[in-house]
Amino acid sequence: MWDLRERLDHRWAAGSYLDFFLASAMMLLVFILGIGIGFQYNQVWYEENKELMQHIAYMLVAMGWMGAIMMAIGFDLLPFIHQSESYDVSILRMCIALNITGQIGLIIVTFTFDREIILAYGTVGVTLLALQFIVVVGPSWQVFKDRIGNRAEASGFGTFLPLMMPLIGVVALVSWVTVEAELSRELFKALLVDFFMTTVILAMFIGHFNRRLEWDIGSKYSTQRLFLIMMILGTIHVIGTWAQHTGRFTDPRIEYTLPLLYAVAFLGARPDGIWRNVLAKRPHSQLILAAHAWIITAIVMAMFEIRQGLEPNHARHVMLLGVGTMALWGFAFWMHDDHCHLPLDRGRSGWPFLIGMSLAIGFNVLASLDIIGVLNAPDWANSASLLSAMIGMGYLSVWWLWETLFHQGEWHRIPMYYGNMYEDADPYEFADEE
Amino acid sequence: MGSVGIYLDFYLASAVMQFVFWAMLILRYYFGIEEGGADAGIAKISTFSVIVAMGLGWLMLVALGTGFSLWPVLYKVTPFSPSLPRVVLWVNVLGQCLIGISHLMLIEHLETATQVLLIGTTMICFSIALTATVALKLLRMGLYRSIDDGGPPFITVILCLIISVTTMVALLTMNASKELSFFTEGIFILFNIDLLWMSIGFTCALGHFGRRLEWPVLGPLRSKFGFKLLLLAFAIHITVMLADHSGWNHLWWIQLPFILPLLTIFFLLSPATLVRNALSSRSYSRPMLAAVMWMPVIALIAVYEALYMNSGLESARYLLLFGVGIQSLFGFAIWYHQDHKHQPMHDRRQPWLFLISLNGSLLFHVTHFIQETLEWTILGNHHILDGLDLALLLVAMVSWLAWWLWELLFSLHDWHRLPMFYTTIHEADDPYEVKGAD
Repeated sequence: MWDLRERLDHRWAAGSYLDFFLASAMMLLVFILGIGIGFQYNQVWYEENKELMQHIAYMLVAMGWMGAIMMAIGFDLLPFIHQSESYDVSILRMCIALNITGQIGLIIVTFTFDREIILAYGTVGVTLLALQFIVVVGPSWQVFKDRIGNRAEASGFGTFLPLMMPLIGVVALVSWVTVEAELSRELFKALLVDFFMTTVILAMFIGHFNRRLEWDIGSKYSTQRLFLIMMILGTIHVIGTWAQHTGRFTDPRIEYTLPLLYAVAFLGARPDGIWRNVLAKRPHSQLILAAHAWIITAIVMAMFEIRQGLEPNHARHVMLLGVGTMALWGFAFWMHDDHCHLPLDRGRSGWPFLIGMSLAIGFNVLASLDIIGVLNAPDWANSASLLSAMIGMGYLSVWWLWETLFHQGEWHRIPMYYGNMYEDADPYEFADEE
Repeated sequence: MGSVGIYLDFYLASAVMQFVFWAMLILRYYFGIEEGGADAGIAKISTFSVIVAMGLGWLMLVALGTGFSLWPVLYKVTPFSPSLPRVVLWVNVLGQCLIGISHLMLIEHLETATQVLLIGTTMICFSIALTATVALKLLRMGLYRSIDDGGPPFITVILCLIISVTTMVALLTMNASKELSFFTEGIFILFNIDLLWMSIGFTCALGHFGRRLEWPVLGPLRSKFGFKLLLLAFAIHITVMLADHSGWNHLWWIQLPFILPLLTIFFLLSPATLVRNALSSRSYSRPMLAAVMWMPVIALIAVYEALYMNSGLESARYLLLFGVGIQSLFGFAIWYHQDHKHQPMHDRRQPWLFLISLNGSLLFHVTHFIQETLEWTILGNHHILDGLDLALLLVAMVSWLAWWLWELLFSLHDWHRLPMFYTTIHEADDPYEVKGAD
């Protein structure tokens, strides 16, 4: 952990992602089983307390197992990308512990099926989940300060997102304390699900296609401008949500900031550049590519739902559970392959997961067509969507549990590419392989 | 040993967080909780908040700061990474701030206040549970041997985790059935007051007189059987108290075992040796000696309360917290800070104002206790004396606050990162020539 000059070696945490992925995969399984069993066991109660359960689910997903992947990527790669030694082993272990205990606490309490108890005891789980984001405030600030100026042409806005995490943690706490107020839930949703997660998804696209694969789809400055646009749009979206729910601004067109955010995420990743390289058969993550493509569906659904005067929840679920899950796990697969030093053209794609999630999105769209009055969707569409997602995610969590516990092949603590991204030398001779 | 000076941050935070604590006490008077004018539920939540903010908040910061500074020196290893103390400190402070905020909302918005209190308490408990990782690391390193070198790692782990859990359980079951809340309240008092402050008093006194001053406190016999005896005394007290709060037993002696660990600690510390050395004009921390001397007095009061009153040993526990716990902790902290300033032992400033006002306050408390229970007229029926113990306690706490603000803001010019004595604790030589200075 300490180098010869008694400074923290910025590479010491490389490989720590496995703990986070294991935690994420395990908790994904718990989440699926927990929510699935709970829903089957007491569907009526779920319907009656839909808004509270939705709020909890957003926290479990975005701050729970997705949060674990985000932190895995941050702890594993940011020190390489920014040559930063911003944290030590305590923070890392603390975050894993907080993530797991927070999720378990929150899931257990939902099984009481008692709103009062959930509101009272769920506070412990939410506090732990929020704390995992709050305790990274120091490291986030350090990474931000250590970011490489002109040396990292493709560093993009990866340092800004960790800075937003403590804010998200505080907002999560405030929103939980005031969860009975609709405005509080809506603002949390706007900030965490709509704005933050969309920006994270965009960062995954840029990080994968632009930095890792070096497809040259944007310069460092263009990605920073893109982040600025996302920030401005996101702020307008959050303020618009507040203004609408307090009756200060009643024009329904303000809701279109959501599909606009999605559209910026889609276009900001430069689909032309991506598809040019894909068609040229250059190796890439199929999961991330699929995630990128599915954004179009989220945009169209959001526009339809808003036009019909509905809450764009189907679009939101496609974006968070469909696009977000695929983008984050796609990045995770690729990062793990880098640690296994697999040649790029032999990268694992997670096809069962991809198919399961794509089917889930498809069925979800089908079910939503009924709601927005386009056609009479079959009754089983929602159940089929849930089942496909459960199969896909179940496969994923079992695969990761197997991979992290019983991995057979080669594995290196220092990932290929990132380990020498600032060196001219190429000890792994990947340039030849590519 | 990079973290040896970290205690300064902890002590400063502790001093500053006292403002929040006093604000909470003022709010209690403002809301009429102290006079019994508020709703019983609100009073219960408020009392819990005050106990947690003090016992696990700013007071615990002093203990944790000392621990984080001393562990690397005592064990000659760094059993934690640099960020751990910082996270512990800030999460604890954040938790205390939230508890303070929850107190503000107690009357107008009880539900929100309860939730904010729960968030704050979770943070404080998490910060304390984190320190268990240090002890776990020491255990993994095979450093089981402890008494000569500091606190026992295993007991630290257990105590940190138990305190965190019992505090959370007590808060979460506060509004549960009467039997359950009575039981969890019992284990909260047992671990968070009895075991915690007896252990802190014992560790500080042993560390000061035995290790730091090298007085022959622990003879061979005492060190061989004493700790086993203490563990047995603790075990008896725990068992009996759990039985009492489970409603299994209503025996006349059920609260008496409280005095067993207290008196065991007192005799383990060899009071005769302490008095003999103190009378021979050797340098020592006055608050520390006062803390030890309060132990038999507390035991006497506890016996009376256990046999003749139904007060839940209220006075004995109050005296344990302030007389033994706080006094020994503060005495140890001041002495340790003076070690960092490399002050010769015979020339050390004693916190007289703190010492006199705190012990004066406790004596007034005992006097009131005697007047009320035995109906002996000692001070007459002067109403002005009613609040005098609290006023003196306030003076003691303010003097502690002023001491540290002065020390930390204006008196660090002669501060050294490595404290005298401790850095040479494992060596035969004496580079600071401390012994010469003595």
